This record gives sequence, C-alpha cells and structure tokens, in this order.
Amino acid sequence: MFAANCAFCHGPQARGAEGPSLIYSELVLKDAHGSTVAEFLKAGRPEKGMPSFATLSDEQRKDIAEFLHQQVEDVANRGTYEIKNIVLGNPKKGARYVSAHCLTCHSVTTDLRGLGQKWRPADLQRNWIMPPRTPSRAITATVHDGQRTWEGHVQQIDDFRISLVNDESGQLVVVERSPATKVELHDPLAPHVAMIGNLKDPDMINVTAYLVTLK
Amino acid sequence: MKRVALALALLPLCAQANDLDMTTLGNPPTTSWPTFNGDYTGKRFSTLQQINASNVDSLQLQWSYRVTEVGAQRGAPVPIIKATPLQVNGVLYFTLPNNVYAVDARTGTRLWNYSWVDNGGHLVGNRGLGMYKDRLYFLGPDDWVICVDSNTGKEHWRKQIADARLQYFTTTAPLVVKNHVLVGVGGDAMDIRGFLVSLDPDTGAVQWKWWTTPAAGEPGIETWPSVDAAMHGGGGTWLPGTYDPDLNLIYWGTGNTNPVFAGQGRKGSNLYTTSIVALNPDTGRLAWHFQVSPHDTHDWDNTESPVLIDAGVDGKPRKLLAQAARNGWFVVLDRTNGRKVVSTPYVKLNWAQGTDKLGQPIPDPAIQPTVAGSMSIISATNWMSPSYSPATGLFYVNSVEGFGIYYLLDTNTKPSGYGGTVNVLGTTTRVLKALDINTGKVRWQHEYPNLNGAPATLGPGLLTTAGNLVFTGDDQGNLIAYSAAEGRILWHFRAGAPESNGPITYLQDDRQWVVIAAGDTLYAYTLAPAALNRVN
Repeated sequence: MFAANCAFCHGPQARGAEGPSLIYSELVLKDAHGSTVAEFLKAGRPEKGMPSFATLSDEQRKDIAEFLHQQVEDVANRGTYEIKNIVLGNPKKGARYVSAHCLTCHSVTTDLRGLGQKWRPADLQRNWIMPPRTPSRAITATVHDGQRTWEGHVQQIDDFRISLVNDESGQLVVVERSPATKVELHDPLAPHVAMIGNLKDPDMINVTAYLVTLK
Repeated sequence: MKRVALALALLPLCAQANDLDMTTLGNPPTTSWPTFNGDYTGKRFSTLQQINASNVDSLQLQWSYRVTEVGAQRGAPVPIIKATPLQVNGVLYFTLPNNVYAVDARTGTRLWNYSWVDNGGHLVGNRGLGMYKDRLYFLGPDDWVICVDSNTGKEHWRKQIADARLQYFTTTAPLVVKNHVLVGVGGDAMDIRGFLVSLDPDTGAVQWKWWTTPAAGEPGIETWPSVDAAMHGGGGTWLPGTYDPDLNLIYWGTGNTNPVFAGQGRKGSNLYTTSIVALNPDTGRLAWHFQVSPHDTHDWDNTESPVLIDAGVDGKPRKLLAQAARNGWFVVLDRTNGRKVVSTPYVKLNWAQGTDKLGQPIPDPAIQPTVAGSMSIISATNWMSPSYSPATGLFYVNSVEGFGIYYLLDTNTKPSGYGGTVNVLGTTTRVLKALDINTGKVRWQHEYPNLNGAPATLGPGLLTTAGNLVFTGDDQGNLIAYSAAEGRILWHFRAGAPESNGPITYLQDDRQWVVIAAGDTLYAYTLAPAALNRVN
C-alpha cells in the first residue's frame, strides 16, 4: 500500500525522496494504530503538495500507519538490526593467505574442515580471528611465591589474587599476590591475539570468503 | 545507642537551610565538592594532603550507604551509581536514574529521596546534580529538568527541553555557571540534532539554546551535504563541560555524528559534532571549535571532559585545555583560541592518516564500517572522569585497548539511526595511563589483569590529590590508590561491585574523607586515627 501510494515521494523505506522523511515526523510518532495518520491521509495537505488519500479505505490508511511505525522501529530499535551478507571477499586470495599464515598450526582437512557450516559468516569472521575460549584454549598459569608452585588454568586474575583450577584434581586455589609472587601466564591463543589490530581488512574479508567454502 | 547519637548529630543540620555560597563556586574544592568536577576546571584534583602516599594504606571505611529500594529499572537490571556526588555543608547529594538522594556525609544516613516517574528515555545512567544557592537541578531520563529544594527534596519547578519520542534522552549533571543552568542531551537511534540549553535557575525559562549542527546559511553548513543531513546530524552534549571565568568561556565536548555508523549520507567533516567547542555562557555564541574526530563513523562521542590546565609550555605560562578522546586521540589546546599545542594518539590505533594543518586527525577513508567488515579500535575511553594533577604535570585516563569489526547495516543512500554495529574481538584491556601534557607520551601506565576484559558502558573514574595519590578502581570490585608520580599500588579495598563513578574528597571535622561509589553503594573513608600524624 505504501509502495504504491507513498514511496514515489517519501522513498521506499519512508526515509524521504522528493518529499520529507517520515521517520522523524511528529504526526507519525504521536500516532497509535492510525489514530492521527489515517485522518491526516484522508485530508492530505494539498497546499504543501501532499495529496488527499480519501479514496483509500480506513483499513488501508491504518495499514499505511502501521507500515510507518515499522519503519520507525527498524531505525530506532537496535535489537532489530541484522547483519547483511558479509561474504564479499575473494576466496582464492583467502586460500593463499591461509596457506601462508595458518597451516603451521591448522589443517583444512582436520580442524578447519566444516568451518563454513559451523557458524554464520559474521560469527565465523570474528571466531577465526579470535576463537571462543573453550576449556582446551584456556589461559594457564604457573605461580611461584618463593616456596610453593601452583599450576592450572586461570579462572580469574586481578592485581591482588589469582584463581587457578588444577587440571588434574579439579580443585580451585586462590593465591593472594604479594611482591614476591611470580605469575607466568600462557595463552594458547597468543598467535590469534597478535592478529587483532594488525590484520588488514582485505585479508580478513578474503579469508572469511575462503573459510565459508570449507564444508 | 549508636542510632540516638546519629540522630542528635543531625539536628543542627536540619535546623538550618543548606545554602551553597555561590562565591565559592569554582574555587579549588577543600571542605566541599559543589560541582560535578569539584571546581570548574575538570581537573578533579584536590589540594588536600592529610591522606597521602605514606599513610593511605591506613584508610578505614567509616560508613557505606546502599540503595536498596530501586531494584531493576528498564534496561538496567541492577542500580549502578554513576553520579559524582556533590558535598555541601555536610550533605552528600547523588542520583540514580529517576532518583535523587541526600545523605548525611558524617554518618551515611539518608535525609531525603526524590523520585521521578519517567515517560520514556533511557535509564543507562545519571551523572549527578548541579547546585545554585539552596536549589538542586536533576534530569529525568525523558528530557525533563527538575529543580528541587536542597533541604527537603521538594520540587520547585520542572521543564521539558526535548521530545523523548525523537529518542532524545537525558543523563547529564547540569552545570551551574553564574545564573545559568547548562543542560545537555543525548540520543542516537533517531538522528537527533544535538543542543546545549541554558535555563534560568529560578524559573527554568530558556535563556539561550546552541545547536551543535549549523542551520541553513550558518558557518559550518559547508561541512554537510545538505541542510537536512545537518538537521539530523547528532552531536549530543551529554556530559558536563568546564568553565574559565577569566575568559568567560564554557568548554563542551560534543557527541558522535548521526547516522552513527553509516556515513554515506553525510559526506564532509560534519561540524560541530565530535568536537570541542568554546561558547560564551551568557549568549551561547560560539567562540572557537576544534574537531577531534572529523567525519565520525565509529560512535566516538567526543563528550569526554575538556580539562582546563594552567601550565608552562616552552617556559611560558599558558591557558590550556586537555582531552583524552573516545577515538584514542589526546589533544592539548590553547583555550583562548582553540589552537593545537599537542595532538597525538594515546592508544594503539589504525584509523588516522596523521593530522591536518589545524592539528586535527585525518581519518583513513578505508577504515570505516563496511558491509563485509572493517577492523578498528573500540572506544578508547568513555564518560568516566579523567584527572589532571598540577603536582605531577600528568593527565590520567582509564583507557581501553581493543579492536572490533565494524559492519555497515544500512546501505540506503539516506541511512538512519545507528545504521551499523560492532563485533568486539576477544578480550579488551583496561589500562590506566599517565600522560605527559607537554608531549602526550605515556609517563607510566598500569594494565589491569582481567580475563573478562573491560565492560563497554561502565568504568572507573579518577581523582588525584596533592598527597601524591590517584584514586580509582578496576573492573573487578577493587577500589585502588596509586602513587601519582610512579603508578605504584598503595592501597586497595574489595568492594561489592566495580567502582562506577568519579571519587571525591573533602575536609570535614578536620578529617579528610574520600567517597567512592561502586555499584549500588557509596563507600566513605578516612584515615585510621593512628595514621593521622604520619606525613608525606
């Protein structure tokens, strides 16, 4: 209804064309289910070039109002936003990048196999750069306080204490940190962390385009 | 028994009106903290030295005040005090969204509470109050300015300054300058046109309104492709500015440009969004501007505090202004005219191609949100207060280091609203940095260990003192004091939540107090009696 009657002047998403954007319209924002918009459409505003839509039914005028509310909602509500198709890179160039940079640790026939089916592309793009920290990728630590040594995967750390889970016993230890306490952290994802802020956008986009082909 | 003693102590307070002596406003804060930043400079520096680097390890909690009755608010599952309290004549005034509290500063006893019932707006936070004589000014989230009595919390007047249906919302602490109550607005989702408004303290009548984007025919409109784009160009004013009484100028940071992530419909630098502006407080007339984030496409509100510093540059005394901006850039300007003194990044970033002839950074056109994704830094800081210590000559900022992938979602030639989004990569890192104002170089820094990274919209503010101290906190509930010159940790206290506001300090009954908010609780400290005699 909107596309046929209104879009020519106000644009297909009511963002404005020859006529003004209706997204910020006072009349639309104060309307509830056509309460003001339907009446307005009936009369129009001929002196300003806005024709009357008296020939439409009340129901049709209400439908236009509801469509406008949806357009406003699509703009105002971040929760409704959707990422578009991000797979725009060159998969051949992506394959070359993967061969040159990734195959010391990974293999397309084992751990990378099926990656393209595992995640939606935007999640894949984030996760191949910085994979989710599953238990096998936990940061581990060796802590010495001069007398004792603790090892395990780190649950949390701040300037004053470190919480470690011993991988064999499963026991949680909280070590208070003093100037004598030495903490060595080991991150199995360190090569991925190093990519953040250094990887170039074309490489990122091309690798993603290649990885989505790994079925 | 203790309760009786508290009640008696309160009696003289209730018997007299709590009137702010307006002649003291702008003085270095010692016995009071009467504005958002303590004084007008934004330094958040105290000359007090009773608590100092040699005795801060003896700080004792005197009381805590927990807000228990607010519960979950719309979009805010737990109440978090982001306000910097005012302290005037022994009363602390602070806010949560929709709530004002007056609490006795000696005992942490609640004196009164004022509640507002909103009709829209966002409850993301409330930064606090402005005070004029015996009046307090507070913002409802739905663009209402409310004036209440400092003694009773009784409402004197209310005034609506914008329309919440257009997604304007209000969180700032009003700034009182002479007989002007200066109030800013926020909003992103519906492409607001930002403004700063000056209200009469007695009536709420509008004295002037300065729009952050130019209208047809005004200077700056050439930085927009159309008047229509400028009319929806964003530029919120949602943190308090600073004021130089000698120059009679107020300084304000302006918010991100709109549509937020989609810049294709607003080619140009988009003045005066993402800028520092200097205005006459009596007329709202623009004196100068410096755009820290030209043609912003990353939601880099430039609202961070413009801190006023009097210091020597190349042997000459200068009136300076320093800002650590959300886009990762640090500037020191001559505040008489806005000319650059220092302009340099303070975090590792990838989006700049150097600076232009004014010293403004030049954004790399290749680093902006695209449909396929573009990597850039996440916000390097936000609303949490920085601090400057004249004793060390260092500017302190709690920065965040990290990157994200920015996506363009709205490819319309006339995009609207946010128009994009960002996916953060891995774990971000909070780093406290002490910057040399002569060079912008990091003199010392402290990286906070934390497997969970820094939260996006919450963070610890800063306070420095002449006792060689920096008060702040981490993101894990530790309130921390550092030595200001060296960055050594000297004291910490495990609170129930991460520090969530800017700490304040003042002298009361000959004792120096430090008050810090963490989550839903205010914590108040003094030295243990035995430590009072230790010297710096």
